[in-house]
Amino acid sequence: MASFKPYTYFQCPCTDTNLPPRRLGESRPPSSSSETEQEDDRTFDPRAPRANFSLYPLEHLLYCEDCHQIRCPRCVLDEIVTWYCPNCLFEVPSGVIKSEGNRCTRSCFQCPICIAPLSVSSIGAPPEGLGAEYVQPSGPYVLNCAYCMWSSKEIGIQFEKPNGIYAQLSKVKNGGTPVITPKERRKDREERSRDASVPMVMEEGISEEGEESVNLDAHEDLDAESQFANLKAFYQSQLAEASPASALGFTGGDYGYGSPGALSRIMGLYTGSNFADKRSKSKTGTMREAQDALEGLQLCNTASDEETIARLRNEGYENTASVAQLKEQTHPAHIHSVDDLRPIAYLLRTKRSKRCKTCRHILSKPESKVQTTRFRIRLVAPSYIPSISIRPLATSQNFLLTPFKPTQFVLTFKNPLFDRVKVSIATPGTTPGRFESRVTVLCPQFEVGANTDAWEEALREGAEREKRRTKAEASEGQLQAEAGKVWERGRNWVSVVVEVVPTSLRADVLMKEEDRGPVREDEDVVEIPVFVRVEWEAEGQGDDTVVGEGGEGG
Amino acid sequence: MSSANGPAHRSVANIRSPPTAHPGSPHTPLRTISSAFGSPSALRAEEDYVVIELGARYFRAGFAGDAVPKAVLDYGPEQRRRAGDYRKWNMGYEKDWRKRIQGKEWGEAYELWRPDLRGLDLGLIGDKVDRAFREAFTKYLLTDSRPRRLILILPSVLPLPLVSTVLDTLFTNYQPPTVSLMSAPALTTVAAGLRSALVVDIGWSETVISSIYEYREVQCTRSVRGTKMLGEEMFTMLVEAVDPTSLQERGDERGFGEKARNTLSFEECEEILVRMAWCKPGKKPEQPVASFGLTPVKEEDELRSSMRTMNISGDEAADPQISIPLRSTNPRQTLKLPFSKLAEPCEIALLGKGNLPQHLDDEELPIHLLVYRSLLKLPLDVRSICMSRIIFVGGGSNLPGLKARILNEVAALIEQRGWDIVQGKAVDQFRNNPKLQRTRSRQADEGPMEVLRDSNLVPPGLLDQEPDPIEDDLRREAKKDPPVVSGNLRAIDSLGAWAGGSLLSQMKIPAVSIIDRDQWIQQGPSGASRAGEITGTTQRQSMGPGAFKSAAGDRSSWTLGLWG
Repeated sequence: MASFKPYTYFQCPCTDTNLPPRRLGESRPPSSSSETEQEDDRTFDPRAPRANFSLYPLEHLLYCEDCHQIRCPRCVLDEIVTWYCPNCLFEVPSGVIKSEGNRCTRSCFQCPICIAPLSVSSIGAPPEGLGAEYVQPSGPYVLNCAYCMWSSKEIGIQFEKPNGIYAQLSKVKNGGTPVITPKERRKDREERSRDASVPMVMEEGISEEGEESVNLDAHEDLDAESQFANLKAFYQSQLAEASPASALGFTGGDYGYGSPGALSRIMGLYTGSNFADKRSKSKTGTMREAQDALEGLQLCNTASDEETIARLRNEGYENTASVAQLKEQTHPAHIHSVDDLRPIAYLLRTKRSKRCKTCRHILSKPESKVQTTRFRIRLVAPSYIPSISIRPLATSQNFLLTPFKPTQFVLTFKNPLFDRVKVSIATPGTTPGRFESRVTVLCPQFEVGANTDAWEEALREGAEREKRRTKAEASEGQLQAEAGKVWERGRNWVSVVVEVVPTSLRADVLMKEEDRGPVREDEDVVEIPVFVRVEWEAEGQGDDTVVGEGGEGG
Repeated sequence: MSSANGPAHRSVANIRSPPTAHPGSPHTPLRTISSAFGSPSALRAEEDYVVIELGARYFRAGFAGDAVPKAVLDYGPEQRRRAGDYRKWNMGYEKDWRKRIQGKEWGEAYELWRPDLRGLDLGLIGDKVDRAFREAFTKYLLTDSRPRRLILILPSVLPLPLVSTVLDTLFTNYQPPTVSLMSAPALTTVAAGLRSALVVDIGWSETVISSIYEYREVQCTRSVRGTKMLGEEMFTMLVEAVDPTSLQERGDERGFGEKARNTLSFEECEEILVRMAWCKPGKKPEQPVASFGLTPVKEEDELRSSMRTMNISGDEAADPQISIPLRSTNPRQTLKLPFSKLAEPCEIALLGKGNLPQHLDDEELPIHLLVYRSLLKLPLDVRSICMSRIIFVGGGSNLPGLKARILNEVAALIEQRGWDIVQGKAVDQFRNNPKLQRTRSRQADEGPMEVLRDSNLVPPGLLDQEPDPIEDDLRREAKKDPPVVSGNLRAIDSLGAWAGGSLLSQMKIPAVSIIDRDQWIQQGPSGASRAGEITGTTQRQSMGPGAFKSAAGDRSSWTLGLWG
């Protein structure tokens, strides 16, 4: 930890009200006196596991002008402006998102091995002769990773065209065998249902379109998508047959007039003879279950498991797909070996506008064009909330904290507003957590000047600047902060001094036994909760409270 | 979780259909219109449900109608960093893992909840769910935060505090109009295309076997042998191979000592588990030749199987050395392990090798024994249906070879014991003792009840069967339907609970437990009525104005279903 950078985080107040901290069956009930004490001034503990979910850097926060509150990602509502592919920067319309899913359907792919972008290249013989450089390279094409040199040839996939890779890829399995498309499956299904019910009145023209039908195997191994589609079709057919049986011809809680049951009921409304009754009186059987792969039933294939084991035995660790690689796959089931991985289509991204959850005002709205990075509305917290930064007072020396040696830090508040703000800060005497360091703020109340035009100030107050410099020089000599006094002050910033007496990180001298144990992650960093109250007068009375929190190295 | 309270899918079970034999009459295919007013124009404003499955390790979310969830997220320690904490990208971050695991049990940092709720911070669970949910929505589902109907898939037994925490989080942070609760095993059955099944969920902290009959959960048994235990065994095995001394110092009551835990990181152990662990095929079941109860056959059997295992372990070609590069050890090294050793953790953790079944607690039965026991406890006809519909789900079911092994073991158990609850040495002796058998049969023959024979009475055995109209009807019905496979052991693949939820909501089949946002916020979990008091959606529907409200819209009482 030679180079430690002090940092500050802000706690969004929205989490305080959300869920009260509840713990089931506390193993040791806290003594009643300390409990009431906790009720009164429960200080924020940056070490608590829950704190990580409510702390944000100032730059991540927005500010609602109407509520006078900072707004964290949890207390804003998102609205999507555009969807786009991060690779080709093409905008994707929302309809496509609904139908095609959340991935780029052009030719943008990530390497399944190392997630670098893949490029399409031809593996055909390069054209020769005069003007060969003007000739388009001819197929077949493969996807290539420039980083790890992976190529889709390794999984036996080649493409005929250099564009529309997504569509081409969805038709081929690894190894090059074609996938039976959902369309073909649907057709086959329809044909079968036609065969099953011979006296069909359906006389509509059989739309063959010259494609020969695929005969599907009733015992084939389906992938997740087609099994799902088969199951869905199966259940739908079962439900459709069930539908006339329901009392009013309604299924479930669904009132489709297109359903035959409703139709027959309406037809029988005024005539005495009831169409529907005939059916509903007939015996009702239960929905049956799926019988074969065509209906979505998949018997467990133990042979493939044995194959996997044999491959593990022969090919070893290197040829298995890692957890990280599997995580990127869209259909990770049954993938074990590197050869089963498929190129990953890029996940789309969004541009979002954000609204305040309470007053629904827009806090941030980007330009809808993908290429621009401008914002139409952007109410970010750094332009409303004084930024807080912390640095060690003695700049020269290495500022790692030494146990039990008081160290002084400069806490600087910088005001972005065009009004003067009154700041009061408070810290608990000792930091929460296992290792309690003592903390003293030397000047808890002060005013920070307005963020006026920099030039204006330079012209007007030359003398004052002079004064400040002398003061700084004077203090350079003694390096001693005075209690109750501001350390340094500028046009729109003020620094105060905080003194920290860090404790020793030796866990074995701790009082409570259950606290003992080696130093955990981040426990060697002193984190000080600071309650900051900022007041200013604007058109309306502005009043704002924020809990900020500073961290220091140790 | 016994008997017939599987109300989450009662509505599914209620769907009746006319006999499939005469589908002859023409009808337009059923259109699915989800809107409350049912006008076809509302097709366009189709409201899509978001289906969420919560497990101990993973969070799955996606839109109804998809086959696989769009987002599968874990709750690992990287998920609980502060916003803007980019230390993950620091140089040497991976090496620092030892610091990060301090003060926690093995694998604790990776799970959402643990079965032991004492001292559990519910707020933290809410935060984790919230963050996973948010990430799924913004990164994978790519939707705005418009309120959407949610379908929440939960394990069939989940403590009420957890359910209420999750619901609290969802309702306060995302304002969904309704959340429907569905139970995972029933959905797993649906996603396999079945009505009844024995769902073996080899989960993180426990293996749960739920028997589903006609979409209802009729029985649920569990064992602590889950993926976590498997991971721990794998960890022990690897640590022993890396540094045999570090295991000697055991930690407090259970878990690993300081030194052992610092030897290898959780991630690496899990990685090896996913990539290389496998399960031995075990002994192949004998073909169903009539070999009942004869001891010599059994001995020969065992001999043969032991010969086979000897063959496997003895042959160098069949058991090559596998080299596994380890990065989290200090220093880095490449571990060389015989291939057969990588099957050991599964043997110990899931199949209970090294322990006699009678030494085991009821809660730690090996999986095959648990499957056998749960089948045994089922009524006869349910058992015959369920045993040919065994579905393996959960993280552990991905272990290559495990399914076949369990099936083999169960088949062997059935072969050996039959369907007899009583077992043990005394029973065997009783069965094998010819004297006892003989006396019993003789008693039956020479019993004191001498039947007086009347000459003009036809003995009842020769009488014609009395005609039973109900039986006839049943038989006729059964003939129309394709025969139901039953009575043999068979495993079936399911798409998993998430896909089941997606499927059901596509079919517009409402769950019994639909929780309204306003009602939840007003009343909280205490407002739910008991499962028995709700009649499901079978309210009388008439053509009045009320009929056009959606079924779930105007319920005054609501229920948490299974979880209430």
